[in-house]
Amino acid sequence: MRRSKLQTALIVAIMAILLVWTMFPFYWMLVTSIKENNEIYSPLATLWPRTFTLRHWAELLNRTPFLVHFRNSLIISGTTTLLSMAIGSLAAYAIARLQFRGRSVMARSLIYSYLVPPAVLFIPLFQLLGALDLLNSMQGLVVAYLTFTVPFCTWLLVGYFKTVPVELEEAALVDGCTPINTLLRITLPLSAPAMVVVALFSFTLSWNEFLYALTFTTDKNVQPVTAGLSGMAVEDVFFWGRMMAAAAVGSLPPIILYTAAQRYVVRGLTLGAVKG
Amino acid sequence: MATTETGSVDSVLGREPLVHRRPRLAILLGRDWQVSSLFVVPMLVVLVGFIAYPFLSAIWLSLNSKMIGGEAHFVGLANYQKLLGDSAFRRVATTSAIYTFFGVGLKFIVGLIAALVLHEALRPKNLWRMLLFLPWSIPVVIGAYTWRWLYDDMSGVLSQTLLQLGLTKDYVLWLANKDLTLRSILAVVVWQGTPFYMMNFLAGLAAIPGELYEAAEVDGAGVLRKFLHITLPGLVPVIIIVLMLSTIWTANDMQYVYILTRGGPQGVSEVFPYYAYKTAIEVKNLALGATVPLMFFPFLAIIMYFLTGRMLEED
Repeated sequence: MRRSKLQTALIVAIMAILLVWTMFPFYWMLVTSIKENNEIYSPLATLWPRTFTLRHWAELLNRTPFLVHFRNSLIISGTTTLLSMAIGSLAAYAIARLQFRGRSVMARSLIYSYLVPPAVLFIPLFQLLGALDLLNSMQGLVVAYLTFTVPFCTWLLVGYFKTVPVELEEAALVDGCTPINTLLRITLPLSAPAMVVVALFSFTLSWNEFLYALTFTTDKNVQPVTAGLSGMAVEDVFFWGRMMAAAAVGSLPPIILYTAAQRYVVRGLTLGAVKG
Repeated sequence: MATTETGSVDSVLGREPLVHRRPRLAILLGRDWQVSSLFVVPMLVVLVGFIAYPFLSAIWLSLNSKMIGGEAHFVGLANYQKLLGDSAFRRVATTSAIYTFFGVGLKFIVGLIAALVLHEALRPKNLWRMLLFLPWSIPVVIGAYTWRWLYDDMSGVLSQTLLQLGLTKDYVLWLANKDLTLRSILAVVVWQGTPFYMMNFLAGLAAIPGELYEAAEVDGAGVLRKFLHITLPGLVPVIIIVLMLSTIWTANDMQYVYILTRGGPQGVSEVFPYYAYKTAIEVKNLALGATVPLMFFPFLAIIMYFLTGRMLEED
């Protein structure tokens, strides 16, 4: 499409505003984390640090349980991802391919389950996990996170499995392959893009979750990064240098994953309802 | 299974008989019910055990009085009546409505502008898209803490810059000033939530056939007419889904309020998910806390119903 100079100028101007608005908080996060305290709390904000220091980063690693929280986040998100991929692909295969009563009810209840907000579920889940003796444990958080990853994974995979040619699977079944082998050897390899999407979202949604982590864990040894951050303020006093260093590290895993898998993102954003 | 049918015309011809004599359960439950039930059991454990059961127990809990660690007593609708008669709860309902309406509305407008500009943007388009998507990728808690630092009264960069430029005479109390709080929170909500709209609208824009625009240009249509008659109608299905999903998520989020203000000053920024958390966990009144989000659930259920219909249709 041809554009006039005025249109081009307008596009460039709006883009510039959007980029500054989007990126400035990230810039300020990083820059704060390498400033000396007297500069951070000086009455005059400096856009570029007068002196550089890694003091806050060292403090973050040595004096706070941040590394433990980071490890916990990795364990919790990783386990949730693996479990939800396994549970999701089994169920999705049955719903997409096998014949049994209740398939369509299940498809519908998957969406409903996905949409039930954590604000409604967190209080009864708090009781349930308490009854199962899973409060203050990483297992408990994994169970809680499965409530949003499993419906998500299953629904997306049902949609994708339906696009995989059924003939290959039928041939395998005729050759005496069991359904589980057909799923593992034929359907899953052919569904690699969908598996990337569900793994990406299961991991990042778990990594970013806060309400369950805040409510179900108080022990620093099992808390993930999101809940740990809110414990870093002492009596409502913030050490902003340290805090922004933690913010930067805590943002890194999801940023890396979303950036690497950029072209798969749209499919996952709306449960596949908007085709990318 | 076909062995009992030996001698029928079908098996003589080497065809599968039209009517199998199947075990009764297979007729009742479907051909593959045995394998299927093995496959869906783990998912059903999650759906029934950790979503449906907690949901129903939240409703039951709302009909009882129960503190954390205390006994439950059936009280009927007393919790609902208590909330309806409570002026603090009525204020929470109003704040939530304003918060959700402006949050969703602003994210929609900024997201649409971002998508339209990005669709037309100069190279490297992928880089711009990647950068504009960043706020959505990071944890909400981290976005909120970063902004809490930007909003700091005395040391915060926003307050200081306005002061230095002479635009204000004193430090701006972004989060502590009653008239500013909700707007300041909404700015963060928009900052972090807009990329979700932008990415979906971009996908929607890419799906509109270019020939439509070419034909319109031949007919001499201007930018505005093309937007109103081609772009906007083409985006409608995406817009509906995005707005419904985002309304559910925005209304039910407590993170921004929890991190930025804890509902203050004097409760002006309390939204219902935060109020539920405060009542149930901090005040330890589990039953009353569980009742709070259920009061809003009917509105949500309407959106969920239409959204589910759309999703199944798309499929």
